[in-house]
Amino acid sequence: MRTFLLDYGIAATYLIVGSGLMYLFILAVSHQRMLSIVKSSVNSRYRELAGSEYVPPVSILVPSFNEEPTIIENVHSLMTLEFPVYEIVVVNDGSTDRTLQVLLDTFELQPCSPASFRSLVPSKAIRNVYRNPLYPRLVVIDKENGGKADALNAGINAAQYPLVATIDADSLLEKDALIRLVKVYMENPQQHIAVGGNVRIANGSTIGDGRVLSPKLSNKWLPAMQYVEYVRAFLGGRIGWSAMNGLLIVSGAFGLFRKDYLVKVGGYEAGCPGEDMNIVMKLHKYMLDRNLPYRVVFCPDAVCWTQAPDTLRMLGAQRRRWLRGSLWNVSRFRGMLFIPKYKVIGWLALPYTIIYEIFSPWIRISGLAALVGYVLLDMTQLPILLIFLLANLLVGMVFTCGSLLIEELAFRSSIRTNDLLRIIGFSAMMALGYDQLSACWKLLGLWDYLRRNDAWGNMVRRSWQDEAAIPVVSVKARVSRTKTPQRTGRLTDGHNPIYIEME
Amino acid sequence: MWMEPFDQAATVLYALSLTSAGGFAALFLLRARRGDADERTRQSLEKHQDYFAYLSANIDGAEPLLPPPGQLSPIELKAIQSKLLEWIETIGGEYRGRLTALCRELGLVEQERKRLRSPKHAVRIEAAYRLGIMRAEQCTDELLQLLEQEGGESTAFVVGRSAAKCAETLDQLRRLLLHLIEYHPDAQQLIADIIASSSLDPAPLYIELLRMEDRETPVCVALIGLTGRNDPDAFGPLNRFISSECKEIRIKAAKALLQYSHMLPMERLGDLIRHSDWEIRAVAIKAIGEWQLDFDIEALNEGMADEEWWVRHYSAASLAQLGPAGYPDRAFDLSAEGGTR
Repeated sequence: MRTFLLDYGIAATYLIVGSGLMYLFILAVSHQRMLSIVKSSVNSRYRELAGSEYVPPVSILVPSFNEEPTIIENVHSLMTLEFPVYEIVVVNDGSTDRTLQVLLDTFELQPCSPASFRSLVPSKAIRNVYRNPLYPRLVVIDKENGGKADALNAGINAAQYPLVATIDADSLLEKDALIRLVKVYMENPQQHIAVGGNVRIANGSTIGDGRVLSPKLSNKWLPAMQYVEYVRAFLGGRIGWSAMNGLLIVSGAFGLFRKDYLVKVGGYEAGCPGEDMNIVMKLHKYMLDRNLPYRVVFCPDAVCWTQAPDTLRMLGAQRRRWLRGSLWNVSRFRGMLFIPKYKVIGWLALPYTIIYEIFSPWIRISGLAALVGYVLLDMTQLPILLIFLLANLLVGMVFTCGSLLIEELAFRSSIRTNDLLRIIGFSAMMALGYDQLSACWKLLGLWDYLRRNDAWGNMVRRSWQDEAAIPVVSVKARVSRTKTPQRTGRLTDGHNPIYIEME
Repeated sequence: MWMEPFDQAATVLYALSLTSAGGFAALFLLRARRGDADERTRQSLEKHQDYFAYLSANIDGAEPLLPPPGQLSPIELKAIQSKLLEWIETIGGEYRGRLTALCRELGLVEQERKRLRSPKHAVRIEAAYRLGIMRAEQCTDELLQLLEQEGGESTAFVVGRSAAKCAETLDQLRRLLLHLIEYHPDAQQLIADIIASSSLDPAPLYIELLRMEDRETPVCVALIGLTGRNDPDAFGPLNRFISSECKEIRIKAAKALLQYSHMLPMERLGDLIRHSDWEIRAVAIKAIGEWQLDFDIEALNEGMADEEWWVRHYSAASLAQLGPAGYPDRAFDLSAEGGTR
């Protein structure tokens, strides 16, 4: 028994280290392309392009469900993007609060002919379309509740331009974020069918007039941990996967797509818990089935700020949901596994997701449990348990370090030294509790998936300025808005920007 | 027995510890260096506040702008360069010319030119970018050579834009254009945008490209570049491409041609409205509304019954744009036209 526990624990340690080495391998094989992307981003100014007549117009889709506290500020924020021609399509997905009414009142919108609405992809019935000639860029679609995927499909149907950007109603874009995404698209419009932006955690930062003015690390430990996670995932992981054309997710918070391909793949899939992964998988499959040249690209300098859940309950619900989404998609696209024509997706990205999403939490928890059991049987063997924990910690530290180096070299990180030290501290702490907690949530997500439990948990609307979370609604999936726990609040007061220090 | 894997694990841990410790050390070193450079730049900018005030006050004067008095340290020169580049990027015309002349006077162009030959790729790209801002005409050939080394990389667009800004002759612009077309044949709109950033008029070049009838990409780039312009010399070639065998060329040619709607005979416009490509029908009908053309309303009415949604959409939009003349009974009855409403 003791030998088994020890061997199992050691095997688990090696698997954890192996997953880290795998990422390093990906970064190594793709470093040239990665460096090219970074150098191009650093030495580009977008002011000229933002005024160019050659930039293709974009329809920005903003699916909204019960976004009353935030929607106005976010629409105002989107209206001031530095971009030549675009429209903002807000899709009110049958909100039960006053989301629609505040939009109608604030922008004095009137019902009008759904002039550009076509039924290109399936979506629930449209109730009405609202416009105001004073705000020609803004279109508000009111429809029956059908979930985020359905709302996005309605947005695709209403979009009049060939490119669509999807943005969460509670995210804040940097002014030049959209033009940066579109520039990447313009480098190869035939092949760049989807471009993902870089999502950062805004908790703790100074927000003013719908913009993040000064990025800071949150004083709360949970958002700070997630800051580290996001930096690792986006700068450490997605750049590498993008360079290999193995990206499986374009974040729902901020991404750009060619509308014609979204239509060709049938749009977003209603009822899918991970619609952002689902649409990218569908695009991969469509293109690879037809042997068409394409790329799904990550644009690290197109930044979208989002607010992280700041309670364990909310975060746990979010992670369980993410895991269910991943499993749902892995199950749906399992036919792509180890089939030569699916290239990196079938041979590397999908297997990695399965190992990372399904086996990794089990390995982490069971490996730890085995070694704890082993040490309990013989307390003199405590070092072996410490080695396991240390391996977890160091692999995470290498990741954090690599991601921070990329950020420093490429984007001249504006994070303060004090915050940097805290990031390193949080990175170390992640291995000692947070990672295990995260693994538990993933296991619970797996359990939910097996039980077909589609509950989304309590969704909470969060004000950017308020610390107190206001529980809004507890909903069941399918017909609910599928999104991360919400936040938001008034970022401006009428025409006078209020500069608020979060926390 | 168990010590062997223990030792192995310890080795892995040592390696991971060293990697992360070395990485963090490098990170803090980089930050310290950057912080130091930023601070020195800030101090230099503060020291030369009066000089920047002089530049602001004399930017529209008749005399050339003078460099700052006295000897400048490298960090001071770098600080002044950063401020000048920032200004050059935000202004145009004569003022920009005066500032770029000052950059040459300060030796900044020569300095960046040397960096263009650096063994480090990142340095070369940064130098190219700065030379482009400074409109360093004397470096155009070197920039074009650098561009040829970039091949299909994303950085080619950075170098290409700089070369376009520096280009003095159409020959240089042609070389740039053909190179970008060869290595980035799909980036047609971005290439047109890069070419448009040149101070030269690219229209003759585009018209020349239109003669390469057997090569689809140059023709497409030329058609994109000519869209939105109003050059009568382009009218003839554009008209010819409407009957091209390549659909993409036909559509782009129609879009460009409709910019010259005042030169289009009504019969020709009628041909476009009844063209077999729905894209051409749609842009032609759209142009009638946009340009308020005095055209037979009946053709727009027919467009309302077109099998293609976009043609119906633009027919309705054009009828609406034409005002009272464009409101025959059918325009009010869009719902009967199969989903326009």
